[in-house]
Amino acid sequence: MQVLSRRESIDKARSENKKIALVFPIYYPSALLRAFDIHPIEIWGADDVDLSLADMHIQSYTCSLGRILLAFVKDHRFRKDYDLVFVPHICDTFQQIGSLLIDFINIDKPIINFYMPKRSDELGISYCVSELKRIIGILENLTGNKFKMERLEQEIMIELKIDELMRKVYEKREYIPITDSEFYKLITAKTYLSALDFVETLNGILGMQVDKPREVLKKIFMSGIAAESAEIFDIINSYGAVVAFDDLAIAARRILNRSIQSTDALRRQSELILFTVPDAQKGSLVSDKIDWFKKEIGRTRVVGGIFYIMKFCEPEYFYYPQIRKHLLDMGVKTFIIEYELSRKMSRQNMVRVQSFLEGL
Amino acid sequence: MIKRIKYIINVEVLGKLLLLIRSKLEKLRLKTKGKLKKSNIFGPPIISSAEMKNLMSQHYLKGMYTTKKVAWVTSGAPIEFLLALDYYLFYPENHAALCGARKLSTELIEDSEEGLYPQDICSYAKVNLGWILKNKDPISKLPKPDLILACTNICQTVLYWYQVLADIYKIPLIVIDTPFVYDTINNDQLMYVKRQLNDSIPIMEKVSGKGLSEKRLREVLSYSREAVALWLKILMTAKHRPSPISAFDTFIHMGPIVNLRGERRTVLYYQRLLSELEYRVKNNIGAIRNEEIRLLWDNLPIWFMLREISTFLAKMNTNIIAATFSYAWGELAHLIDENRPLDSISSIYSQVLLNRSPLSKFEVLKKLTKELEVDGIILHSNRSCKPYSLGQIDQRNCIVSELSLPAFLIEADQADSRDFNFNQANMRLEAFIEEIKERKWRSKAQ
Repeated sequence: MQVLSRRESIDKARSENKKIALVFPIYYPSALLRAFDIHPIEIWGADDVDLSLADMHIQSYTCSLGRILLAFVKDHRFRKDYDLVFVPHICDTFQQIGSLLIDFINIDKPIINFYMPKRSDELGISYCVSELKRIIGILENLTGNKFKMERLEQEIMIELKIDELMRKVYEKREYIPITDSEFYKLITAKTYLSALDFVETLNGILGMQVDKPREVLKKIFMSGIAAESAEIFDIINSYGAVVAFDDLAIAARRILNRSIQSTDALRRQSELILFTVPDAQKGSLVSDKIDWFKKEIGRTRVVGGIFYIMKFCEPEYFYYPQIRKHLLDMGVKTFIIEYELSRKMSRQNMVRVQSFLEGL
Repeated sequence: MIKRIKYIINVEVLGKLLLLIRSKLEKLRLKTKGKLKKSNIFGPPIISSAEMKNLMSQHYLKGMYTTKKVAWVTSGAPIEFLLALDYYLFYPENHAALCGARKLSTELIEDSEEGLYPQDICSYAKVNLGWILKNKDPISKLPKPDLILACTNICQTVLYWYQVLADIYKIPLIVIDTPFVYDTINNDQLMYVKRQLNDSIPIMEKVSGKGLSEKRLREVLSYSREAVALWLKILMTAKHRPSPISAFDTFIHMGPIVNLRGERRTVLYYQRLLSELEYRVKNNIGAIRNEEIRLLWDNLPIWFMLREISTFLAKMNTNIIAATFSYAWGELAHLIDENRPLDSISSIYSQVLLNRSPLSKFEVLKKLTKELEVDGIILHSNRSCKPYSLGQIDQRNCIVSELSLPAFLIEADQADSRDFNFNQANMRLEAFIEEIKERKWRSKAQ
């Protein structure tokens, strides 16, 4: 099954007269951007990005994603590909980069910062709505288009469809006869495809279902921000193991964990962000995160899990010891592996993953 | 009842007496040191230090035997409500700093790493988690919390760290989420913080078993205002040449403003410290004997190297006279208004230095540079504190280009000594000071 590449997706959006927003992952109002005919493209790495462009502004103890994003934004070669930069406040690093882009680094593109509330209750939702209203004002000025609530509602309905299909895809994963590497290539296309193209992709994945489940020796899960490279999935599959579920920020972490309750479109957009899988970055309780893991483990019967953590990514580190303790009580072994986002997986990490899989 | 009796004996009677004797002896020692060692590179010591030590020791001693409800709080948390509800307050960050200053932090950090907390997270968090995991009490026995209050105005790290604490102790956690101020604060941000504060009061009341008295809250807030205003005056005595105080002194003397603001004893203490510093100003008594170069420090101190760095610089006739870190505790004094407690608290705690943009921090550097007439700036690139450190490279470049001042970025950590090479840092510091001296010499020659 083929999906558009990032480049093709950008070209397609351009041909439809859409503006392109370069978006820092991971929590942002995608439906709202789309309601303004803005096509959000998340950046998770670039082949030939020059990290020294980021090193001119931020220290080397910043996560590789932050450094790649800043270097990408600073690189003149990529400027023609986007019209604005959207930076959600999800951690201290993105906070500082988002602020530096306004204060000190002039890139001749509008920079929009979005403060994601660190609580998912009524207060958090209300504040998120006020942030969205502020952003609507900016987008109206930027695009010259007047905001239409019905248009936002339409886009939210598509997002909800995506959420429903994503859930189904994960539920039926063992009946979909493709490798993990192929699966994650399709799933992570969400980060750059248009919403409708991604709906089509998900329907395509579901269309591949067969009657018999895949034969596997071991089922594991993956947690973290993103996979270091697709090679990890090949290693996992070569040991007869499969990834039965994930908590990757680039993939399943943005599936809704609570149902949307509101009728107002702006509140619904806020809930789409805040009601997703529990996450330290949203200030979720450790126990909520553990309960989520328990639920998924119960559903999939995994025997182990890899916490694939990007070096210097604080939010990913903190809950791990607590989660590990609880999962071990359930007989699920986990281990932590640190990496820097790149195209190639490090030899050291390959060996560590292999040893873990052998030990399961 | 037994707990109360223990408290009275150990804190009110024996503790008070022993600490008083220790304080008197310390005062005597400091006075003698000031008189005897005339050739010392440092000026006479600040005598009030003895009282400050006494104040902080009393606070920690009270914590060991307290019968009050205990709240663990982040350093920039709005504690006035808790204080008005008679909680005993414990600051894990301050405790970690204290461990750092006594060179005890690295061991606790390694303990936390054994518990699977990796090297790359905040060293304050790791000192605290190491202490919890190993149940070690390197300084004193610490009180276990009944409630935890985290405010995100200093960083997001506290959000994750305090969630873990709440899970370990299975106690209520109050999070006050303060939106980052990219430009100027808006009404939605203030209302969001205000509503959170309002909603947190019943939780604080429930745990304490007491009702919040508005009169008491106003009183606490007025002590906070007085203490913060005095603290700012104390810092500004550094305008005088020679400066009667060093940034290193302020790192130590900020203990009460962090731990005990909102209390009368803090106001009284800072009044005495201020009058001592005014005396020093009047009599030209400097923190170092020969103040040739005046520097400004940015970011948290390198706690485990306070003495080494201050001595090294003093030998080169250099005094770091102020720090943005200590200044952050005084700059918002004018916003405190006890007649509008909720509005005032929402506004102050939303706008602390670390919750503002890098440009706003640069403006603070610029202001202090001008007001205190410094010759250069040292920016501590602190691995543990991303909100303080990411942005310093551009700030440094602007200091050099816009303010025409030399600026030096030193890589270290607030509490983790393992990656810090003092000799290497010294060589670079020495070169930096020499550059400033040469500049001064050149400008005099012109």
